[in-house]
Amino acid sequence: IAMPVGPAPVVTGISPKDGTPFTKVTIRGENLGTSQSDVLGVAICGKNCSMTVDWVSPSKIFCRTAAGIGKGDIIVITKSGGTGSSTVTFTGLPVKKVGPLETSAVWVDETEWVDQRLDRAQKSSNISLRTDPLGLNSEELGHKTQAYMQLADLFGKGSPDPTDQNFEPSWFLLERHCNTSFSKLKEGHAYMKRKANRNTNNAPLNHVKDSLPVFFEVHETLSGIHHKMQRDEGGRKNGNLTDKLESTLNEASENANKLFDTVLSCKDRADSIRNTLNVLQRFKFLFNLPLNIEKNIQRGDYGVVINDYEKAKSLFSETDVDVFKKVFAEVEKRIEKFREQLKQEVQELPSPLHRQKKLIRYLLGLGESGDPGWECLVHQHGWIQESMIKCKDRHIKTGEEHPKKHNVTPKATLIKSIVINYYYLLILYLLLLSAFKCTENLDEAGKVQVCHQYLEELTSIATSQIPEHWNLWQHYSTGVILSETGEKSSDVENLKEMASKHSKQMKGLLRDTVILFVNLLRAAFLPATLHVDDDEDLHERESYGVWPSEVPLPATVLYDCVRAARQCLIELSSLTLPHGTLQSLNDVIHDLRVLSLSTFLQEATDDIRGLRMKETWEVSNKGVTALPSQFHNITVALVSVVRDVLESLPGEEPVFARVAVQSRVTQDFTRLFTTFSSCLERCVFIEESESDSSKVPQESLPPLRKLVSPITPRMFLLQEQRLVIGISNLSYTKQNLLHPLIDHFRQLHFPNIEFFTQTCDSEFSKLDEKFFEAYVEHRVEPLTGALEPGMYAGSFDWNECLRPEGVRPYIKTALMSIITIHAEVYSINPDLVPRFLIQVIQMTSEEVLRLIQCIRKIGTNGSMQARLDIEALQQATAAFESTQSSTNFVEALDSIPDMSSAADRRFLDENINKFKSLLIFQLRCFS
Amino acid sequence: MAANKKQNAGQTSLHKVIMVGSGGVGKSALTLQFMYDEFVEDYEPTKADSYRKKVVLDGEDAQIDILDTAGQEDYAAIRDNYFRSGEGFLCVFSITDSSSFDDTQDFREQILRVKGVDSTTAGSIPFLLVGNKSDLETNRQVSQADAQQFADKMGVQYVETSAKTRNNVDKVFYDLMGMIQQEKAKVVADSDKPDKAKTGCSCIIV
Repeated sequence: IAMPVGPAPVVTGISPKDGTPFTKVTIRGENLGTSQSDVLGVAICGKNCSMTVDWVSPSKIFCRTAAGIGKGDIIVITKSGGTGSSTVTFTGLPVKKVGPLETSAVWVDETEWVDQRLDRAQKSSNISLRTDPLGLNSEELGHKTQAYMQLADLFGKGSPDPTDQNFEPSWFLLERHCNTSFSKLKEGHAYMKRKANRNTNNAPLNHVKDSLPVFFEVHETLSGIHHKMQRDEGGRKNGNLTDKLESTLNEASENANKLFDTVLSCKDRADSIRNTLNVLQRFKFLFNLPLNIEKNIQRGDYGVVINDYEKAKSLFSETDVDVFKKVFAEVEKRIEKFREQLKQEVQELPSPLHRQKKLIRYLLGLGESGDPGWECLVHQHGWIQESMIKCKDRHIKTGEEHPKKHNVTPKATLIKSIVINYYYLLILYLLLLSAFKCTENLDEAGKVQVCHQYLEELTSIATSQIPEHWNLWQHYSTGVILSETGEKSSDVENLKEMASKHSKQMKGLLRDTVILFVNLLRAAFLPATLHVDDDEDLHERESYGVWPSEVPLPATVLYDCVRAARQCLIELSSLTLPHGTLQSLNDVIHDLRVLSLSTFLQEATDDIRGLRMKETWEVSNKGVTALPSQFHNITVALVSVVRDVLESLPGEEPVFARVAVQSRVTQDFTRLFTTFSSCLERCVFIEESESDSSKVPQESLPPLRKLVSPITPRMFLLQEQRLVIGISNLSYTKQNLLHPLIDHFRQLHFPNIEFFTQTCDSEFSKLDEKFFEAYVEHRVEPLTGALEPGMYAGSFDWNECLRPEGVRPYIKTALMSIITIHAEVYSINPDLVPRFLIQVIQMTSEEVLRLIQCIRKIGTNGSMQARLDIEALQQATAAFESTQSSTNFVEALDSIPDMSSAADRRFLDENINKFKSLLIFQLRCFS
Repeated sequence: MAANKKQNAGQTSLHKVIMVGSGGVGKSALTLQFMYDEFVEDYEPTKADSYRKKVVLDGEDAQIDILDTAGQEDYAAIRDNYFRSGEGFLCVFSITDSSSFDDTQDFREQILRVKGVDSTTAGSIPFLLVGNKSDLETNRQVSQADAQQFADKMGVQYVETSAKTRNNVDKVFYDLMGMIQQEKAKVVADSDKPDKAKTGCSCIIV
């Protein structure tokens, strides 16, 4: 305790200043502590009453007094002020004793109660005190207590009790008769004297009289003892004292047992409960297991669940205890549920491989009766197939919905627009047309898009799910599922054994999946390759989906398909699937390649066919239009595209390996080239077939473009010019383009290329012939036809004609015509001039010959004239003379009578020279 | 009693003051106000409280011992003893309670009886008539004039106090102590009188 630092407490007031023990007092003063804890103790009348201290303020404390009797100081001890002093005192009063049968307003401490039997003396004295020795009836007996202390102070030793040794008469009187008047006391004195006298007279008798109860009591006690003694002795005589004792003891024991029966039974119950608790504690694991299983399942700690279950199984599955059986059954029930849940989870696809493996492992760990791995595999197989079919259905649906979307809008636009403005009607019309066209295009584009999406999705399903499936199988079949987590090797072996039974089925499943995939591809892209023989096949065919097939798919889509399928193949073959599984995929790739090849060819052919409309008839310096080069471009592009298709990946069958394919491709291929020729042909003869302008060609050019396209020069071209251009194009193509192109295809190992070359050549030649003939028909025949009328113009008579004055006009006309042809051809392609002119001249010469030979009679002048004409013609066209024409001219000359004189000859030469000089500019073109 | 006297003579003088009056007139309140400068609102009937305090009276250290008695009639029987030991009396009534004023006569008579003096020598008993609760002027039932008249009749001083506002509280105690001291000085001067008083007292008892 620290040394006190402050002033010591001083008690200056006490309220109340006296009282029995445990009176509540208020102590007032100074420095009575700074807090409840500062007050270390309070002592009243030397008795510690710290327990009851209730600190209020430094000047006030409540407290209850202890059992101190008499006057004493009130000492407060505080931490801060040390032991205090007191200027006032407290007087402790004795507790009034209360008998067990008396009512009392205060609580009486019975622990200090003394045995009443020992109190007899006191009692008897009390009895004697009850009647006042003075014979006075004291009514103020009750105030005795209050004055007790003062009297005690006054008399110190001594007692107010008349029976006491230290009897103090004054105290007695003060205590009992302080208010009694003197005369009464005198009476009392007289009474006492009388009594004393009586006592002395009949002392023994009175004594006996007074003490009669005592005598009786003594007598009773003595007779009681005597009686007991007699009984004891009597019992001993009968010899059954012990028996009696025994029976009594037994009885007592029995009673005791009876008394404690309930207690004991309670104890038993408690024991059994305790035992049960022990059991519960010891097998807490089992009893908590059902709950724990639920909890762990919810938390996803499947491994823990399985471990717990294993443990429980090994511990309790053989148990004979009913409780355990019950709980274990409960556990089994939960586990069964859990198993179902796991099964469902396993069948929730798609899910990553590791998860599936985990789930299968759990199922195996749970001792699943079947073969969860295999079930999972089968389910996955089904799921893959289902997802493929679903994918197919969805895309077919979107494919069907696509066109519908676009049908409404143009109409709406139409109605709106009509209302808006008359001025825009033309534009509206154009818009409308374009809109319809757009719709059409959209249809197609939509379809392509749908196909693309479908392709993408389908292949993604195939490339993602089949490997997963296979991986799962491999993990399953090799026991990796278990061995990677370090399961027992025996389990792994079991699994392997189980798996080996399924390997064949697995192969089947995989093949099924691949075949489905392939067939779905076929249904979408190669509908023709799915044969329908009977109803069953039909049903099967329908399951692969029937795609709307009005528009054939573009080759690029097919090629994409090829690529996708190839990608699939590559990915799947990297899995080392069982042999033969991917055969059908190989097949479909082959088919797709063939189809895409032929579609490419077909599309190129279509493009070429379309070239016709792109002919602008603008002739380049080489005498050709853009057509051949466009053809060339298309073909070269085709070659580059087709090269990819034809390039076989390792393990793939070359496209041209099959004869059927060969012939088909050759056919397509040939058509590609013949299309060009026919395209040219149609270009040239366009006016004939399409002179009727109202007839809109059903080609790919949109009407809009046709309407707004500038008027091409071909409108002003003559048929003859077109023919010449055609021939020019043809020959250009044949000479410069055809063979390099064919070489390209030869490099690509196209089959029957030689045969094809021949076909092409002949085709081109034929067309050339046709063009040429047509031209001749158009140009030369009028020329030759004009000869005869010209010859006989003005009723010319060979026989009677005058001496010739020069070359006759019909020759000049013919020459002019020939010059026209020359110019025409030259303007297009100078290289072609000889070919044309030779033919022209040959035909002219033939006609001349015929006409000459037809002359029946010819005079000298006539023959001279004829000779002049023929020679002039021959010499003018000498540059393009062929053997045929020269022989014709020679024959013609021969059929005319020969020249007789040299003068004539000279005349003739003069005239020819004159003719030549006249027509010098015209004839220069022939040189 | 004799022993106490001797003790006090040796040291500072001790003046024993008894608070008398009916229940609830404010004896304890006056006492506590005087002793500790605190005013207690709660009413709790007193049995018998004892206080002692150092005071300076006429420049000398002195001690005042206050016995705060019970006003209730239940304790009337033991009052005699207290009165006997008292040297001075503050007879308190409440100006808001006329019955308490009426009771003061009985108290006065009882004191004189216990002290063994009759009305002629009554002046030798230091006695102060105190009309408490002067702050509750609105509830006044005893007029100051009546009280003063009664005091005059008895030949004692009358003071009105308020334990709540501490009005005249110190005054009554110090006045009474002054009276006690005067009385003691007379006793010292005339040594016969206390003997007389003593015998008178014993006579009544025996």
